[in-house]
Amino acid sequence: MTSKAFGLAQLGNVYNDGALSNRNLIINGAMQVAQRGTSTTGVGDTGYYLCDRWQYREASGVSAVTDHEQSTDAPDGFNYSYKITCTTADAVAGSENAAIGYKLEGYDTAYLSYGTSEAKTLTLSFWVKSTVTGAYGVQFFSGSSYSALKSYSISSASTWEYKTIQLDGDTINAFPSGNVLALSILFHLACGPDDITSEYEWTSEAGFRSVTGQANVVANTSDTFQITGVQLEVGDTATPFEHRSYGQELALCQRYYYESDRTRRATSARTDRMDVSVSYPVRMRATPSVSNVGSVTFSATLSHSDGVTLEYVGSISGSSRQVTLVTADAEL
Amino acid sequence: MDNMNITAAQYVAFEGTTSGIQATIDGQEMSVPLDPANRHYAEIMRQVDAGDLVILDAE
Repeated sequence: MTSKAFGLAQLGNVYNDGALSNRNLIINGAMQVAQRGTSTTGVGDTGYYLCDRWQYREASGVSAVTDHEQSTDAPDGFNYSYKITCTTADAVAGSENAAIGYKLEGYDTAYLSYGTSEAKTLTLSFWVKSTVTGAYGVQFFSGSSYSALKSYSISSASTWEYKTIQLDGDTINAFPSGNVLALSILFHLACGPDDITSEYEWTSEAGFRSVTGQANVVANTSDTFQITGVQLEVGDTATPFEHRSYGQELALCQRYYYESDRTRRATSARTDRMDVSVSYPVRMRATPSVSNVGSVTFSATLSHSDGVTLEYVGSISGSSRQVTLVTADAEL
Repeated sequence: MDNMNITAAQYVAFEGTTSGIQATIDGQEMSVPLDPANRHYAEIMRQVDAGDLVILDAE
C-alpha cells in the first residue's frame, strides 16, 4: 500500500510538472471506447480495428495473422484491455515487424517544448500481459523522421505487469505543429533481425527498430499480447492512471473517428437524386473520409470537419432511401 | 507510412466543382476529401506521385 507521505510527495511532483488533471496525453488508454467493434478476426495488415485511437501496424510483408479483441481481462481498476492473439505464425525475417501503435497530433504536444532547451521529460506507464516473456521495445517517433527506442521486459507469462518508461525531451527537433501527426508510439510485438538494435535516445531514424532480444508474439499460434492503462505524462514520475468518464473519452475519440449506426432517411424533391446530411458530435481533427452502408452507396458532396452531405444519383425507391451506417475517419 | 491497398479512385464533382475522391481503400468504398491532413488523401497522392495509382476524372 502507498503511504500518505509518498502520495503527497508524488502529488508534489505532478504539481511541479504542471498538471493535476488532464495529464494523460493518451486518449482511450484504458481501452474502454471501441466504436468499430469489440472483436475481429483474420487481421493481416495495418489498420484501426477495435479500440479507438489504437492502430495495429505491420511492416515489410510480415505474414502473421492475428485476432483482436476488446477483452474484459484487465488488471485491477480497469475494465478492458486490447488483446491480440496470433492465429497464423511468422518467425519474422529481415525487416518484418508487427506492433500496436498510438498517434498524437501537434496541438496536443506543443506544450512539451520539443526542439527547445525546455523540452520536457515524459513518462510512459502501462499494464501489459503476454504469453511470451522477454524483452520488448517501445519506439517513439517525432513526426516521421526522428525516433527514440526504449525497452521493458515481461518476466512472468500470462501475468499482468505494470511498466514505466522515461523519455528525455528532444532539445533539437521540434514536433510538427497543428493538427498533423506529431508523436507516435509503437509497442513492438515482433521485429525482424535487420531492425534489431540497442536502446537509443532521439536521433535521425525513420524506420521501425526494436531492442536486442525483442520477443516475438507472432512466433506461435495462440500466443497473446494485452495492454491497457496506458498513460503518457510530463515529468519523470509515473502517477496513477487518470481515469476519465466514458463520455469524456468517447468525445475525445470522436475527434478522430465517428460511427453512427442510426438509420437515416434520405430526402429529395426529385426522382433522380437524393441526399442525407450528418452532423458530427465533435468537430473532427481534419475533414474525414466518409463511408456509408445502405442499399445504395452515397458519395460525400459537401464534406467538412463538422459534418457531411451525402448524395446518391440514380433512381429512387423506398429501400434506397435508407442509410444505415455512416463512418467518418480523421485518424492520423 | 501506413500500407493502404487502393484499388480505385475517381474524382467527384458537385455543381461543377471537384469536391473529393471516391476511392476503394482496403476493400471499403470511401469518399475522401481534398484535405492534405486526411491520411487517405495523403496516401492517394503519394501513390499517384509514385506512379502506382491513377485518379479517374469525374463523370
